[in-house]
Amino acid sequence: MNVSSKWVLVGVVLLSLVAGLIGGAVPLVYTKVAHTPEPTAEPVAEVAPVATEPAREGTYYFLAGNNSDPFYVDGVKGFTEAANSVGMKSEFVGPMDLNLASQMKTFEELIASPETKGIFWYPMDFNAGEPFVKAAVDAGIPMVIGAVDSPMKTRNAFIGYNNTVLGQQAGAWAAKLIDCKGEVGTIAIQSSPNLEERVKGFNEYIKSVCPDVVIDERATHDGSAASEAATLEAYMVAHPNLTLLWWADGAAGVQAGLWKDKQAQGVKTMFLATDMPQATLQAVKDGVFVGSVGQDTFTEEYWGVLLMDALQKGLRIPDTLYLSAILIDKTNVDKFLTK
Amino acid sequence: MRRIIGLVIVNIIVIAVLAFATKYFWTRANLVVIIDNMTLEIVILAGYTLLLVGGYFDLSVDGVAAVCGVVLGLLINNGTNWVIAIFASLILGIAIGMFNGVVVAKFKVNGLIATLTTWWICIGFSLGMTKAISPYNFPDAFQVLAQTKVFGFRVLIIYAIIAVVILSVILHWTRIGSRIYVSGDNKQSAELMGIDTVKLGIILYTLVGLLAGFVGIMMASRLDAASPSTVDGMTLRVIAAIVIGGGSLSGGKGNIIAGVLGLLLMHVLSNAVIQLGISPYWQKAMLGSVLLVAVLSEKINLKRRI
Repeated sequence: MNVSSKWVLVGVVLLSLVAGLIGGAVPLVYTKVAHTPEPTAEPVAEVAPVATEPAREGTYYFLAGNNSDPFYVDGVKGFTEAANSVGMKSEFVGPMDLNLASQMKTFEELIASPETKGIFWYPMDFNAGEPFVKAAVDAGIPMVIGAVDSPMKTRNAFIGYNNTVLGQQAGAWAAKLIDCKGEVGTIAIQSSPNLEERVKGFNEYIKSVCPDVVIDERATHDGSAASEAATLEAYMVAHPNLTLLWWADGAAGVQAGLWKDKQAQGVKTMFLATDMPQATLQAVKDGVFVGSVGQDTFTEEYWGVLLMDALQKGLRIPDTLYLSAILIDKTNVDKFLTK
Repeated sequence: MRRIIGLVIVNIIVIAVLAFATKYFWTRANLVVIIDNMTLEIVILAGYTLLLVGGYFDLSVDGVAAVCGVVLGLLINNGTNWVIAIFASLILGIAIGMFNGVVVAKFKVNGLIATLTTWWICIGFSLGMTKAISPYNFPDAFQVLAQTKVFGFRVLIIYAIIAVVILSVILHWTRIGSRIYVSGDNKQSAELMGIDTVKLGIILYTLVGLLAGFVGIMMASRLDAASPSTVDGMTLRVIAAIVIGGGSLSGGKGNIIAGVLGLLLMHVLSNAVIQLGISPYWQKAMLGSVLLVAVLSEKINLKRRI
């Protein structure tokens, strides 16, 4: 190693240390949302504290896609807490972007690994994942699906939201907010089957109860903040008379500043968000967003682990468990904001 | 020059068609939206053209912008003065760019692989430091940097114009610009002519790192949030725009103004799919097809001239 390469090495180490120090020493301001099951539309029974069992062999995996999305923060917390409560290790795995091939590769690796004692899967494409679901079940690995159920039903169980119903809930709320008058539109990330169902449910509900309301074609973004901003701005120009905009995925919070700016310019469109990241909830509290259709992912993933664990213990479990979205507005947002 | 004229004509045709075909495309508000959303990509494009002309490649720009934005956001939210946070982020961008330059230009590691790894590291740090929760709620004084309006446009357009003018002058009217072209065209010849290609490569990567850091900071200011996925996909869009503008991936060719026109075409088409209400399933197919036609038509024209 010559002198220059030593300096490069020293530089890399120093850079890593500095970044590591920043990451480690600087505490995140955003502590996680305290789990509060009571405000669900159909109240979920209080989770009884589960005594931590002795450490057991193996890991429960939460396999998702676009894992960098803040949407997952609460769900991973629920997953981890549930795994801890049953004495099992847990891990959140999957691609950071919308890379289906990468998710399938991880799926295959998890099935092949003796460490895997259960897989909780958020499908990006249930057709592509079907062979792996079958392989996992055949291998005796508990296989629970969240977010959107596979029509093949070869998994052991599904827990989550009926996305069509969630879309209808959003539609019902929107219909009330606009008093069945005006024009509605939607924005959502591309390539996600649960969002397809959601937007379809929303549009169909509005169409059925408010036949005079104009429903605009939805616009999509690629998941980056820049793409979201560009899509939002272009959509508002293309639909200047929009009465209500429903942002159907969980990324709306990052656009709160931009929307506030639009409101300052006189835009009267109501902005209905989805899910419960802190930035979204803060925007609801500040009156920037009119509300948010929240998915209680903490509960979903918590009980997903318990379903896998029950299967590990040879117990009988329900085939399908549907949860109900939480309608969050100014009146109840404080319950979900970080204390 | 022919490329620039060709792209101006293509842009005019596409814009004219959209102006007639849609109700709101040819409105001041929509044109402002298109320009506003191009500006930060123009800043990167200006620096990236120099890098590409010099025969280098950098895939880490999205990651550098993300990590610089995130570091800035975390510092501000933890009480650091926003001016100091900006300097810290810019220094980080410069350091990462310089690191890329040393690895690629000095140690001759393939630029694609070297910067791909830097991108991974930067994105990893951005996600690791934030746990995917974007820092937000920055001081008003900081937000002014990107949100101030100038003639209805965000002030970012001024930054973009400054970047284009300065870097165009450097590329086309200075000795260092000539050296960049010569070095990108043939490195061995450039070295025989006495050009320090290693130093030049390090400078070019450092410039792109600095601009990426700047973009990360400005995105945080514009959105009042520093997302770890702030400009994902921007690098490829910028490279595509430079190539549409006649730039060569193997170096020695490229023009900032032509690249900006290529970028304009891409943004106009992206905007068009929303204006036309095209189903999201068909958007990428439409965008790709039109861009393919634009690139091929230029190639066909070139062959005819030959």
